[in-house]
Amino acid sequence: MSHLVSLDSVRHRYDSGLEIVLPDIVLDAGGSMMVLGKSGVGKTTLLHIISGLLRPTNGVVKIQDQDIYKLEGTDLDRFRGENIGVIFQKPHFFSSLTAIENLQLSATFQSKKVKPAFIDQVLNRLDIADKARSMINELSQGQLQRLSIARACISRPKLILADEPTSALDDDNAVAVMNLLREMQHEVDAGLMIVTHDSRIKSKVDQIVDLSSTTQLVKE
Amino acid sequence: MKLTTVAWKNLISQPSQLALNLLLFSLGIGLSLFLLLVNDQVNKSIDNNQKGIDMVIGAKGSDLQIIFSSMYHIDNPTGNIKIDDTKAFLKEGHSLIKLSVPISIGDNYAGFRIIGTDESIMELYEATVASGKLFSNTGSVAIGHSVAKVTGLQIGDSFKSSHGLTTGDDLEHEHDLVVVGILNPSGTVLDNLILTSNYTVWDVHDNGAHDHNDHEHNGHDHHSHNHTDLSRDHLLTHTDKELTNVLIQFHNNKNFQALNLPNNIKKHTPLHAVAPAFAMAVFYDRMGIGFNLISWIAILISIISCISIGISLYNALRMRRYQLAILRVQGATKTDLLKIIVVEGLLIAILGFIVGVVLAYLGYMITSNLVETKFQYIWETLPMHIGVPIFAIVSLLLGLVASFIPAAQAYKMDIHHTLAE
Repeated sequence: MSHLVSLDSVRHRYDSGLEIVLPDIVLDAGGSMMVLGKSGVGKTTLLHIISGLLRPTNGVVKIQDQDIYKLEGTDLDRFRGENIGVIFQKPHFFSSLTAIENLQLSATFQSKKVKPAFIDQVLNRLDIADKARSMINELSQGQLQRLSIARACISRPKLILADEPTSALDDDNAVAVMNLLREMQHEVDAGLMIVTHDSRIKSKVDQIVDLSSTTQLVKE
Repeated sequence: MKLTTVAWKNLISQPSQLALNLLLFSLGIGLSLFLLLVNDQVNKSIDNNQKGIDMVIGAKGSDLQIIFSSMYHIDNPTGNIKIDDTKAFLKEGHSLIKLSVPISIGDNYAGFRIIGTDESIMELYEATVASGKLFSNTGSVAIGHSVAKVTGLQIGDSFKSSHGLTTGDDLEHEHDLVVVGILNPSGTVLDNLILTSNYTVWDVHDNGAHDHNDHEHNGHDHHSHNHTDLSRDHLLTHTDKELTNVLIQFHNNKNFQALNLPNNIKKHTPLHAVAPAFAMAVFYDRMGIGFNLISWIAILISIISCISIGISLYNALRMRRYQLAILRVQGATKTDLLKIIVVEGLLIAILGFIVGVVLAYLGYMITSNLVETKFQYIWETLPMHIGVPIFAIVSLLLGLVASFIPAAQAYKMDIHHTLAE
């Protein structure tokens, strides 16, 4: 059976010589997973490896049966843009552009055309349509967070990766963001993988992988 | 969204930085182009008016003053010379001389100089009459193309000349001068001159209304004439009269004797003689120092602007590195990031070039007006210069050079490390 995401025997050696051995992970299409772990356990490394930003020293990373590290350069960039939407802990946008222009810029790099109507639809869904033409510095942190979710979803990716999306939020807002993420996941029919140390949202996902107990750090 | 739009919005989001970069860039380009435009017009004016004149004879004085007053008509003459002293050069048959042109300088109308001469001046400057005829008797004049255009004088019109080389009612002569011809544009100083016979110049001053004792008389004295015989032979019979200069064209200007003639005249006669080619070479050398200095300043400004743009783009890159890394996550390639930075550099260069060209032509127009007001030289209106497309290419290259380092940094950016910071 084919999986949306699969990690097989993935290891990565840092410049410091320290090697991290990641657990084999499988996420099916439409499923949701929480990758839990304390700081320094390798959450960001895992996220970057799955999103094609950090080539592991060993192992195979497949997304929709494509061994992504068999892709090089532009092909990998385009594959990432089309199939993976990433939400970062800190929402960063071009301050010289409006909210909707930042989304349009992201859409520029997609080989499949993103319809303007869909961007409007996503903004409406996330309740920030009225801020579409606002400059970035006119948006609150919460609105920026939702704009990040919109940016990750407008390409209708197969996989949504979220890095600590709720860590800085209070309980109510953490639940609200999780609900939005699940809604958008279903809206674009994607798998969802959340990398976090925030255990408050455990109940919102189908699978939990605790890196603290499954990852090995090996000193050379 | 086009990457050009992103680059443009990035630029205008920092207006003060953009303004500084544009100012520096446009100053460098503008100053360089302005120098080229002015230099070109000065050279054209000099070359057009120098053509065919191998030697100028005048009263003792400075080489350049003789040349500027007799060939370019932008300076006062050094004095007068007796026809008797110049006979050898004015009469036909001199073995070295192909053409000689006597000129008397003294008066003006509306700032345009009135030159007493004969028809040989038309041959020297290869000029032709557009309408009417060349001056044919005392009191008739033929006016240059620019004179007609600026003063509005037409054939049949009459006017009174002002004494000397400046305008003023108190210096106006009594005699009416009648326009009998208008010359075709020749691109030479003739466009700005009013031509008449030497007799007219002499005659006007014989019966002038002004006091002849309180100013100098260049090229004329006071003796009444009423001539219709404008031949050279007849002119030479007036041995007691004075001219201002004689313009000489040799049969062969590389002939050894011809080359030595100016020195021989200076040594053995009361006259002064100058070879314009040599004197102007000295002038070019002197003027060239100033032009070179300003050129180097312009180049220096261009280099500084290039560095300034590079630093701005690099600082902007450092500030936006996280956003650029996120673009990579969203599918932007290394080349896409490189394009954004390079396009920013090129946009500044293109804008700076446009502003620079506008500044250069504005400066040129102001200078052109000054030259026209002061020297009655009419420069081309907004001439297209080969420097414009060359500077367009240079600007693009400078933009590329300025954005090279920041663009290379963006291209090489390690997304993993940047996002992990």
